[in-house]
Parts: sequence; structure tokens; C-alpha cells
Amino acid sequence: MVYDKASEKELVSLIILGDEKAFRFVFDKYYQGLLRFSYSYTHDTFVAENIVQESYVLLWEKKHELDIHSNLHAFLTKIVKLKTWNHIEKQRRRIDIEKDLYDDFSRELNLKLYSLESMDVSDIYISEIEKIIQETLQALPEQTQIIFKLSRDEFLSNRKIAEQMNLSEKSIEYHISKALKVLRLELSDYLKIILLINSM
Amino acid sequence: MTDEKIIEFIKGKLPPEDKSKFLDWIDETPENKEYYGRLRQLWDLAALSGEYDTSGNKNAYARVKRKISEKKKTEVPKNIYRIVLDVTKIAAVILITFGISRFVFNHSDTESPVGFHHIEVPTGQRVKLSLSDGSTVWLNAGTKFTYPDKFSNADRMVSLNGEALFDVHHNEKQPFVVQTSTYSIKVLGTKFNVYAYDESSKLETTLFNGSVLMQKDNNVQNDIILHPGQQAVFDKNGIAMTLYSGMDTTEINSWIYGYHVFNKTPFCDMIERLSHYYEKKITVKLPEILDYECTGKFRHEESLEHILDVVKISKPFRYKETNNEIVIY
Repeated sequence: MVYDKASEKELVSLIILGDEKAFRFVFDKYYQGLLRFSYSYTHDTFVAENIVQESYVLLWEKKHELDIHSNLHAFLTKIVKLKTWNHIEKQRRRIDIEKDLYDDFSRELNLKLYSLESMDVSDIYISEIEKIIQETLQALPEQTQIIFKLSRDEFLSNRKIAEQMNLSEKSIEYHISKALKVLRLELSDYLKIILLINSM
Repeated sequence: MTDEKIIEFIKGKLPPEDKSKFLDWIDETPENKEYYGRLRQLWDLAALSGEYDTSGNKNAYARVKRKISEKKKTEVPKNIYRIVLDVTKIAAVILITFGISRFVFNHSDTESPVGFHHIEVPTGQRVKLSLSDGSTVWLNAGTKFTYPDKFSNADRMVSLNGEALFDVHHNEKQPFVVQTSTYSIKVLGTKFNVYAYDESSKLETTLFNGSVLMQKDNNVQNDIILHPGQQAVFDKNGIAMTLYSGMDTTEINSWIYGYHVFNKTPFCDMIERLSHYYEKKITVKLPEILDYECTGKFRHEESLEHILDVVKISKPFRYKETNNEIVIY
């Protein structure tokens, strides 16, 4: 069975049937992305890894509750989002007691909770969005692509990227903001929808 | 606020002063917050998608598989078993510093050529130590602890086989390192509990305040940073590490005040702790009770038999006692 040729529906059916190789394939396909997502909130590799791994355990345990139309990426993202939210919330509850000391920290945690709460992982849009992001990035000049990926995938600060690429920090900022602008433009329809749903 | 600054915040790379300014900007107007929200959304979507390198996934996948098979084992009959006890308030707090010299048997200054102190805490006792750097250490029953006469300039190295609660005097220039049979626990100044009997299947570290770094085999990949209220449990058999947050630290340190406190503790863990404390081998021949959760509080003065008799009320089992072993069946 060549899994990368399998359709999303075939993959879901195989997982419902308990096919471990399909599970492994789905693991490889989404693991790093989910890790990046959780890390961008927890800023703790160990916590993020634990959250994402536990989410996969849950997917396997709940496989009988899936149906053929389930979107695995959306399903996993929802669990990771919830677990990440729980982690941040616990941190905030603890910080609340010592509020004066951690004012900025507690504001930061509240902002993270707000972002997570207003995130809608819609089954319908996520695979389309993915495609748009990939195509948009591929259409960018190579230099911009490399810089954006270093920022997104390695969580390097602009200063670090500048050092690595032997460029000025200003020019790194230029490339990042260019990539963001193009992405924002291409995704504008979806971002509006997401915000509308959340304001209801 | 520029997009690049917002992204640096999301990645956790903004220096504290800039972060403060950024958060002020967020609070300024709802539009600012919404602008951030949209960019955050965009970033989240970009983080979630994209082609990635899967070469490093092998270990992570192995861990997921292990977690799945572990859950299968424990899932079977999960009756919750509780021992609820009325605990009368005890006014007298036992002064644990009292009588150290009487209870510490192997406190030998002269035998060790490199100037180390070895302490072995006997059954049913606790010891409070004040170290030369101003740190305080409580040692639980059955614990073996080694520390130097005088700390080196580079670090403050001690070794532990057993359970100890550390209140480490802050000194940035001289990290305090607790060596156990698995992890080393490195701190600057903080309060934390370590449960690390060599023969136990688990290592537990619970942080009360400050922060600690746990290291193993000199491999950065194993590094774990704990935050206050977190507990790291390392399972030596499964070689798996689990992190718990929001721990009730008053429960964790109750042993220094002379209590055994169990809060939804699995029967097998409770037995392991009691076995260390009373220095008695306990064998459980009733596998179905190993996973039962036990909740209760006992004074250290109570006998092991008394505790087992109380536990027996809510979950019937029998036990027989020989000279050096208790068998539960």
C-alpha cells in the first residue's frame, strides 16, 4: 500500500480498521506541524512534544468514533489546541495568585488563551488553506522562502536568521513581512470567515 | 506595531522590554487586538501546514506506541477505591532536627578520604540537614545521601538515593546539582522534592518555586525544565517521562511534617512508599488491586499493620506477616 497516494478517505478508513502503517503515515505527515503549533504557545519543547504525542494516542483510542468523512488533520489540531489551552490555563491560574510579580507574563498568557479560543479549526477549510499556503510560499522568491521557513520551522529570532544568512536584521524583517503580506492577501477570504464565526 | 515584531512575540523571541510595549499596544484598542488575532491565525495555519522533515520522528512515534500499549494494560477494571479518613488535627509539629546524631547511623567523617559525608536514614526517621552553603535538606526514611565537606567553586554537587526535599540557597555562580541513578537535577536556588530510590521503578521531581533543569546522560535531548507546581515522573522501565502540572505541593512535602499523604495514589505506589518507610518487603499477590486509587492521610507513628488494616476496610484483601516480609493476597 502506497500511503502517500491514498486519499484522505482511504486513510481514515484504514485507521478506523486499525492499520498501524496508516497511523504511522499520518503521524509523520502532521507531527512536526502540530509540534510547531503547540510550541508557538507553550514555548517549551518538552511540553509541546507531550501534548502532540498524547493527542495521537487519543486519535488511536478514539478511532472507532471517526467516520469516513472525518478530517484527520482537523481532528488532531482540535485535540492539540485543547490540550495546549489547558496547559496555558493552568499556568495562568497559578500565576494569578502572584499577579503583581508576573503582570506581563499573565497578560501574555491571557493573550495566548484569547488566540486559542478564537481559533476555529473548521473541517471544511483546513486542507484548502494548507494548499494555498504551500502554493503561495512556493511562488515567493527563493530567498524569501528560505527566510520564512527558518522563522516558522526553526523558531529562530530575526537576529539569529540574520547571522545565519549573513544579512542585516532589517532585510530579514523585509522578507518576513513580504511573505506575511502575500499570505494574508491569498488567505483573506478564509481569515474573514474565521473571524466572523468567532464573533458570533 | 510591525508584523515582524508580532511574529517575534509569537515565537517567544521578544526581549522583556519589547514584550511589555507589545502588550501595552494590545491593550490600547480592540482593533489592535483583532489585528494581532488575524496575524496569529495566519501564523498558526502556516505552522500547521507545510512539508516537513520526518527523520527525527522515530523516537516520538515509539513513545506514542508505548503510551498506547501502557494505556491498554491499565484500562481493564478501573474501580475507584478510596480510603477516606477523618484526620484529627494534631497540634504538635515534630521537630525533626531533634536527635539527628542519635538516628543517623552511618555518619562518618573520618572514613572518607575526599571529605564526603555519607548519611543513611534508618526506618521510620527523617533528617533535616543544613549544608555549608545555607541550603536545607530534609531526608526521608531509607534515604542515602552524600555531600562534600566543602563545596567546590564550580558547583554544589550532592548525590541521592531515596527521597529528599531541598530548599537551595540561591547562588547563580554555583549551580546546585543533585545526582540520582538516572537524572541529574540542576538548580540555582529553589525548593523542590525528589523521589529517587535506586530500586524504585520511578523517579519523581516536584518543583515548589524557582526553576530546575533535569539532565540525563549528557544529552541535551533529555533536558527538561520544570516550572513551579510541575512534577516530572520518569518511568525507568518504560523509559518514559510524564509531566504533571498544578500539583498540590502541600501534599508533596507533608512527609517532612510526619504524614503519609495519599491522594488518588495507585495501590502499588502507596505500597512502594510504605515499604521504604517501614523497611519491609511487601509482596502483592492480588494483581487486580494494584491500580486502585487510594486517598488518605496517616501519621508516621502509625504502624504499617494499622495502615493496612484501615485500607482493608474499603477494599477487602488479606495479608500475612513473616519476619521481614508482608504478603498481600
